[in-house]
Amino acid sequence: MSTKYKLNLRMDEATAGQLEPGTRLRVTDQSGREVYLEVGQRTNLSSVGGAVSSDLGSFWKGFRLPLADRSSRRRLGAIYLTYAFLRAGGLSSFFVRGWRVAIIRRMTGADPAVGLAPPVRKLRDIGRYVDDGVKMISLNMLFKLPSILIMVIVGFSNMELLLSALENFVGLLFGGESAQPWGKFFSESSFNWSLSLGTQLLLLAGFSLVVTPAIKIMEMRYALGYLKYRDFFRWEEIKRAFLLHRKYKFKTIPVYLWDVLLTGVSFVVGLLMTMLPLFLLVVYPAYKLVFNHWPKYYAYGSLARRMQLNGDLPPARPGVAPPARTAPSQHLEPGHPPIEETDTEDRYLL
Amino acid sequence: MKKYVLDAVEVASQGAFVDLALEGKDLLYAVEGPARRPSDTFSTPEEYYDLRAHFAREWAALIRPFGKSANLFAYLVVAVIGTCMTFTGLTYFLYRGWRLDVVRRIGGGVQQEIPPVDINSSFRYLGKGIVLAFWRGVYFVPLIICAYFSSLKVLRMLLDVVYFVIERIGNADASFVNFVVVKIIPQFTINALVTLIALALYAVFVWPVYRILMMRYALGNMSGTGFIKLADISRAWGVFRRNAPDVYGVYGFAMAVDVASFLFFNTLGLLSFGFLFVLVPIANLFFRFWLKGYAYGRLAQRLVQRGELEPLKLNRYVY
Repeated sequence: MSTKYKLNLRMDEATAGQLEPGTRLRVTDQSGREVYLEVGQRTNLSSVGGAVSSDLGSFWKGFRLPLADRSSRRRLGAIYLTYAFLRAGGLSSFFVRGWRVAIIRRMTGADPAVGLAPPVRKLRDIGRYVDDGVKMISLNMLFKLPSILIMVIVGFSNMELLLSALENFVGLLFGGESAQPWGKFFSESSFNWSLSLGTQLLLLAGFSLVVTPAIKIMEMRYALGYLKYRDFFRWEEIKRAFLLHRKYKFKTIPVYLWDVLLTGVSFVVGLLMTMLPLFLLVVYPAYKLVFNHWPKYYAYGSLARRMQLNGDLPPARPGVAPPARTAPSQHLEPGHPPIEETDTEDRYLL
Repeated sequence: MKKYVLDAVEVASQGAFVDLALEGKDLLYAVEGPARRPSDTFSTPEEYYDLRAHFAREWAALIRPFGKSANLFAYLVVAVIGTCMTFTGLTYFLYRGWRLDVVRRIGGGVQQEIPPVDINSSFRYLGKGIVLAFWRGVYFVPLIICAYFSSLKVLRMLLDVVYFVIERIGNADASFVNFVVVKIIPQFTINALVTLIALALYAVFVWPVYRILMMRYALGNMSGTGFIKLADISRAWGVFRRNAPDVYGVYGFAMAVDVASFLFFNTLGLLSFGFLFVLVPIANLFFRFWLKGYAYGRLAQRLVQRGELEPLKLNRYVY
């Protein structure tokens, strides 16, 4: 099977008429690279939906994977147990964040036979994910500090609308007597969509849209082993990430929207589950794993793969991704000498 | 001029072609490579790792020391003494010192893993336990200050909620949303944010360093005052960063076991109307003290093997 390409072009209708499916092209791009292609499908982008819908198919595919076969379900079970159990210790969010980074490593790694889900075999695996997770979460918070400050300092007065909407939503769900249908709610609420609220929301959304994918791209380079913690603050790395974000906007923006969608749904589900604390402890981690963490990073992983294909992301550094088909007890940190096991039982601990 | 997207496949360079030169903002990029893998899978059968067998092995290793009669006897003695001491409130100091000795024995590869308890040694364990509890308190002080100030506000907030509910029962006009926005959210959010951030910082940075200091203290390579000395702390920080996966792994697991067993056994005690409360110290001894001591002991052993910690320093006490 040969490489598939996409061409984004501006043409008039006459030229477009010449490029029927089946036409053979020799495409020369701006840098002089020549590629021989055969056109498969031509889409007019006057409707925005066309560009986005093709990617959604691959996103939905991510949902099926964890439950597809027995070994996948077993691995999902192992990860779920670790994630749920660590909630008691408080490190669960760091653990799963690092686990997500490891997904990128596996998806962009060299070995095609390795499953995509990072394993949890020893305590050291947990610790590795927690370590990555701490770094990623701290970086995210630092980069998003301006928006957090805006929300905290300015945003309270506008929370009223949000909260009454939430109250209405819960009321509609459970049949409260004060619940109103939405049309009536918005027309009767004493709140008005002032310029300031609109500006705030736009600023926050715009800021997130621009910054988040760039952070994720830097995360990808970190996952591949080319970035250390302090490199996240180097101007050339930040600039490179923004340029890549702009170049891949047809993919990064849908992935980001997918991210936001999953987060929003998770938030609502979590809110509903707070009514039943047992559910929150046991069911919510399972829900988040299958419907939030995994699909999100499967999408980011596919983005990373596409970047690798186009040469914008280097292949994984040796020693970062799992080596092909070694015995489970030999996953060594890069740079560490092989550890002498003192007795056979030690092989399985830590 | 309109925008078009063409899906195309790469082909061999033979035959007739239409030339197309890209200019301006036109873009050509690859979306899918030649198949590298048959299809994406979450996990493959070759990577199967038997977690149940792993747990079985770990559990076997954890209780192996109890097979030796000297160990079993020592364990029972300390359990009984601890349970009897419950009314004095000193049990957990004794257990802490005892656990420190467990770390010392396993980290140093001493033959008898479970420390024996007699009059002399129990005073030593008590003493070390008090030292550890003291330093733990010192390390916690900033967090306690944070939590105290925010808990005051939380208390006041709870009172507000109670008054509000009472008010609302009598008066249907009171707006819940208004109350929440004006009173609860501003106070709560900033406090919660600050407390959560402080907690998170403590959990992931301060506490592992404390644990490494504890291991050095257990192995006899650091005096009790080292917990506050900058040289020792920065050295422990270095050990922590170089071995972060192992330290985090053991630490996360130990914390989770701690909290889970605390909740489980205390709930059990409550549900049995207090009858099983006497078993709580015994269960705690196994899960919160023996298991954690064992885990940190193994970690200490691993770090000594790597040369990150100095090996066990044999001192005058023949424990």
